[in-house]
Amino acid sequence: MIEIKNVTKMFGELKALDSLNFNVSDGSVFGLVGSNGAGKSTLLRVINGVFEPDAGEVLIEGENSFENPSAKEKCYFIPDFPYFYNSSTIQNTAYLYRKLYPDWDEEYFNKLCATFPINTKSNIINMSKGMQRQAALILALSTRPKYLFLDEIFDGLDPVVRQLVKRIIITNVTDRNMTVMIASHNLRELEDICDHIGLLHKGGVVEEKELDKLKLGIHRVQIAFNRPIDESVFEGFDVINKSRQGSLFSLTIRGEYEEFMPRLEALEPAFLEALPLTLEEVFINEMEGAGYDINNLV
Amino acid sequence: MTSTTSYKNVKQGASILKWNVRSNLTIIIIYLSLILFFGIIYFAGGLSAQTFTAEAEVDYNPWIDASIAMASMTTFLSFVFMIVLSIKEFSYLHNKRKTDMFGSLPISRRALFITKSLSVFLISAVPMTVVMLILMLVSANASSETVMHVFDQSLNVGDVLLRTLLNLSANIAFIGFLSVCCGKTSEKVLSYIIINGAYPVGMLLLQLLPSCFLYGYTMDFNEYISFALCPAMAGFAIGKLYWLGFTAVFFAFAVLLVRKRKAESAQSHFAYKAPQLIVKLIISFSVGLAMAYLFVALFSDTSLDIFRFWLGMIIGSFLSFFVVQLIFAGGFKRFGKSLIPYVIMVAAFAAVFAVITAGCFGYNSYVPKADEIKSVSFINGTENMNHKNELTDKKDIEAAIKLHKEIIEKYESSDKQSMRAGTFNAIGSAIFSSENGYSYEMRGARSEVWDDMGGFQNYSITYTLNNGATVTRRYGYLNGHDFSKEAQEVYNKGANPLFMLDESEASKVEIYNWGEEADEADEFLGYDNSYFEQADNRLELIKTVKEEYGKYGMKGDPSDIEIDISYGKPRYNKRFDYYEDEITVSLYVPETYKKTLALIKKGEEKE
Repeated sequence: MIEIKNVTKMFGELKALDSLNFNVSDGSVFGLVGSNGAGKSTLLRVINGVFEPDAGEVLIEGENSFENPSAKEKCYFIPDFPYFYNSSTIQNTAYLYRKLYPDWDEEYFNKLCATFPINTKSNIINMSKGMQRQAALILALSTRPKYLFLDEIFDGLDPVVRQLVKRIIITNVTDRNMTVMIASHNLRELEDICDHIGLLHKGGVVEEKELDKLKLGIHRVQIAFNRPIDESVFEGFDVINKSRQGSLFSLTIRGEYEEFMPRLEALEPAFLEALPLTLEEVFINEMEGAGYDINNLV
Repeated sequence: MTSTTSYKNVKQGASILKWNVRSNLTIIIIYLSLILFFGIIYFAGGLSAQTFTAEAEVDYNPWIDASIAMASMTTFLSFVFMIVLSIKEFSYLHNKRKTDMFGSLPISRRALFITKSLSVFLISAVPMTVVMLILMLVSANASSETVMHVFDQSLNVGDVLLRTLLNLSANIAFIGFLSVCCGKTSEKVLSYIIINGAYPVGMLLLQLLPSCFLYGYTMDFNEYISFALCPAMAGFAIGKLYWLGFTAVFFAFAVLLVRKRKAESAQSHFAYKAPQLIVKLIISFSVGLAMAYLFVALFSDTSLDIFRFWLGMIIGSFLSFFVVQLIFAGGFKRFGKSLIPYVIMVAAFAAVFAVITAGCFGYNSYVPKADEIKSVSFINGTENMNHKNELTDKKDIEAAIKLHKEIIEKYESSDKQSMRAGTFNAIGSAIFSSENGYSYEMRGARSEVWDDMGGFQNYSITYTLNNGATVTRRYGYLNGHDFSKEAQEVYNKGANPLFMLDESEASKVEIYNWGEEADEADEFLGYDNSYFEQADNRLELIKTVKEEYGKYGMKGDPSDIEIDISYGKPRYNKRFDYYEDEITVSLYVPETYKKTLALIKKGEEKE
């Protein structure tokens, strides 16, 4: 389990992380989403011991991750721009990782090298962005990490490779109980793979929940009346967003479907429809609630 | 840290070390190739060059000098590659992407830093050491001398090896420390260059300053002050123990600081502020001081010397501080606040300057009391002689004090506006005691006539006090015959070899006539010295010279006659630390020495 306890990180006067508190259970795929500059990448770096938190701590299986080689042996971090030396190839980089990571699996490494469409003896620096990511993934997964941290992993990957990556991640999660934490703006891909979502904004957690509960806890409702109706009828509902076109109301309501639908039906609308939101829509709505919406930015 | 963690760190460190060596294989091959290529050229050059010139020299062995030449080139190349490797290997601290990679590896920061340092050392030192060891064997085998001589010659290369290893260690430790403190590679490189370049210049110029105002000041450039923060000179200046300590201190500091270093400072700003401040102060002080001397030197008019000195100091120091601050801060932010240490530095220097110009708490006028003095000696600082005679007699001591006070009086009464620090001649003269004399020009006390005792006449007085302390004052370019008789006599007794040496020990007198009547085919008119080969005649001549010297000093136009008196018994030359077989006192005879000239003419006629 990863425990993030009151983690704060400052960059000068900027508070990049503000007393974060949440846990990530073993075997889960945790999606880290948030606005630009929310602190997603910073959080990943703090968890992996690249940055030291200014307050709080990160525990991995009960051990503080900072300056702890034993804890870091179980982790692997692929940053948004992974670094490779000019002369690095997959093969010669594997030479280092074989010694550093005790769980390195040579057989699995060879299998991955055969699976991904990539030349293991070419200089990685000369490859495209997507291929560099693939190279990083091959090396990462070959270390058989218990905790895998990915920052914008889907960026640059073609749709076929994206499917491949998701499949490999899921296989490792189900077979080895690997825990994955993915930071990404590509919510469509996260929706496919994650079971937990953490929503960050300005260094703080806006929402942290299982994905299903998050999606099911908020609905887009369209309701129309064939009589004049006052908007105050919606006051008893947790309405995040509301717009009106004539007699048609479009509402975003937070709450359980089974709880608010009967109450809406009781208003005897001419038309009533409720649909769960996509993760992207949930994100936008939650951010609006946090004051981060397009009307404020434009 | 538990033993398991320590063991893990060692194991991980060893893995990274091996990988580092592998990944630097290209650099190692280039490095070795250059050592062999240039080294062999130097070796061959050393062999062939000396063969033509040293055939007659019995002890000379060209293989040994060739080995030293190749060893020196190897030292240079190892230094260059060490710099390149240090910049490369420590750059993981200055690049955000590298920081992500290395920061997430399962190895502690300290272990990683130590591993990196060791990598640089091994890669730069091992090839160099192998080559040097081979050269040690070559130079040992090449000598056909005694075992001790063989050992000694081999040790010459061994000494170069040791110094080079020290140099590499000190520089790696220093660059590692700078790497930990800096956020960017450019900051690190700039800091390294400034500290190694500007620091010694600044210190050398600072040590020069007292000689501009303190007459009698003994200007000895102190190696420790001059090169303490100059690891480029490690192994080749100051003592070896110092550099061992230097290496240990900076390495320890770096290992201590790397643990708490903020990784986000990569490509951003200094991780630790102190070195940044030191670099700014060093460059501004050194440039300021250089400009100060230059401003003084630009005008031959000596008035307003001090004003010009300070004008140069302020302009030079402020401009250089401004530029470096701009580079480090990447702009003008917090420039005002950053000036505070600069102002403090200038104020501190102004305080030191004020103390020096005011005479440094009585330095200029200080003369020990007679009852404090155990002995006094003078050193005639001429080039071919450095005789010292310690005087312990009370009367001699009192006469020496009188001489000293007369010298001080001459300085006090001279024109004090003439601060001449700053001309390159003056700086050169201050360092090398060249023809222009000390940088403090004393009108009225300057000698118009050289006392040609082989060079220039500088007076060095050293008192050994009863408590064991010594007080030394060195005064330049004085004509001793402006002093009172008593003062001159004691100087003659203490430093003038004509009076210090017993005339009965004179083994030879040679007389040269440099006049216009000299034979055009020869440089000088030969003088048949056979008359003075007889001891009585020689003795008479020397006594006459001494008598007239005591009477007239060196006053009067020099005649064409030069006398060289050789004293045959071996004497210990303290300055050069060896026994001289023969000491020669040379003297251009002034025309006032009527008796001496008459005697010489008599000797010529008698032949």
